[in-house]
Amino acid sequence: MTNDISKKVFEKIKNKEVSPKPKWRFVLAHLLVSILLIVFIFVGALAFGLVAELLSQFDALDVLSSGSGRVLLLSLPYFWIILVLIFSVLGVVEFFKTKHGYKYNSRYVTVGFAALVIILGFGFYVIGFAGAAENYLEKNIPVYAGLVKTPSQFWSQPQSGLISGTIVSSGNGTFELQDQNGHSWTVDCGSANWEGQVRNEGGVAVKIIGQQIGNGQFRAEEISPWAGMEMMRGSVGGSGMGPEMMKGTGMMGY
Amino acid sequence: MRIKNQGNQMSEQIRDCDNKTDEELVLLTVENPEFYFCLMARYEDKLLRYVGRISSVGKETAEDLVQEIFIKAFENINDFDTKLKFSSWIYRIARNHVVSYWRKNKGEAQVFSWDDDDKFKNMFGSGEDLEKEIGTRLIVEKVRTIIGSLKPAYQEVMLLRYLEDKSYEDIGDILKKPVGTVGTLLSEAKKQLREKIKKENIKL
Repeated sequence: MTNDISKKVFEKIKNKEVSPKPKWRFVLAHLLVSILLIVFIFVGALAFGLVAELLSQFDALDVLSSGSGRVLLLSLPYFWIILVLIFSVLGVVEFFKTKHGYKYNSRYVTVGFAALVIILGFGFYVIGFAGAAENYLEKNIPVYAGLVKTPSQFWSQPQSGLISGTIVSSGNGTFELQDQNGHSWTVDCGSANWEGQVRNEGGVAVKIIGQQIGNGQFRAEEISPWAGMEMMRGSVGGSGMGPEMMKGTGMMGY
Repeated sequence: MRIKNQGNQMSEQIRDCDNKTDEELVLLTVENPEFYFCLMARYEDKLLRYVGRISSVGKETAEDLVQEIFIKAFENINDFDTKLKFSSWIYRIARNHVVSYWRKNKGEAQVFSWDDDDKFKNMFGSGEDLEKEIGTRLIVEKVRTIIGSLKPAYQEVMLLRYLEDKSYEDIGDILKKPVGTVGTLLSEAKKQLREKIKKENIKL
């Protein structure tokens, strides 16, 4: 053993041609990875909380139980779902950049991360943090309105079979509805399911799943009370409160 | 290990490193860089052999690479993770350095060297007479060709396990893979090797 290489390197060290990088640089680098990891988990969970929040605003579970998959697909907040996926993937990637991340099986880490984002995100939804964040985004980020449909926008898509508004007058198997944009609709409700305690009488606010059959004409398949939804959260009043009236509560101003 | 031929260049206290572990020497190196010589002396031959095995480069290039590896390890000594073995840490640096060298200079897949490796030959035992010796050599040659045809990931774990005598945990730390994955890779590698040996009708 001649140690020629060691001697050469040792000479360089002695002549101070090479020196160790300071410890703080490594500490900072590892700290940055940890901070990024926490940020990715937080944003992913918040995005999941917002998905839960928007789904509840759209009454997506009611729609699902009614068997209308088409409506559910329309109601999915794709923007936030994509963000959940992006930040979950970023979180997993960042985890493997930590000092000991490589020791863990990637399948378990991915499942663990998904579970963490879902649990934390659902927690954000339950405590109202996701709702507050959604309100903040709507009020302060103008671009946001273009990215995510509000409940009133969502339930104003007659071409997709969704309308909402207040019953103006009712008749036998039909009623007149004024939607949130002030348009009048003659709604055929002869074969429709009436959900909850909603009644066919003037002044009642409803949301309707069905089919546009002509100009200003709509055939209802399912009629639900507007006010039963999470979109009423935080407003005064309750059942029977029409979209027109809701404008004044800040709930319709998305 | 008594370090010789350094004359007055090194202080008395670091001449005898025998009773110190690698990890203790790392801590001492942080305080006094002269202790790094002891670590280099311990790993110089091992790394030269390892670099040769995973790179198929000539002796001079391998020496240059080991020199660069020692410098890189010294520059990053403050990042040494005390939960790791120093040997795993420096093997990891060596492996990554060779991979980047390979990417920069060859621009193609890394080639492992199983040639002229005494340890590899010894795995098959030595012949007692000339006929047996020639038979063994032929077998070694065939098996070497078969191993060389395995996926690089399989060759890499086999090399670390059987030629470098590393434990599963050490291999995991060197390759930055979970221990379970190392086990799976090794068992897949052995399975493929067995199948190919059987196909070639080689009797070991």
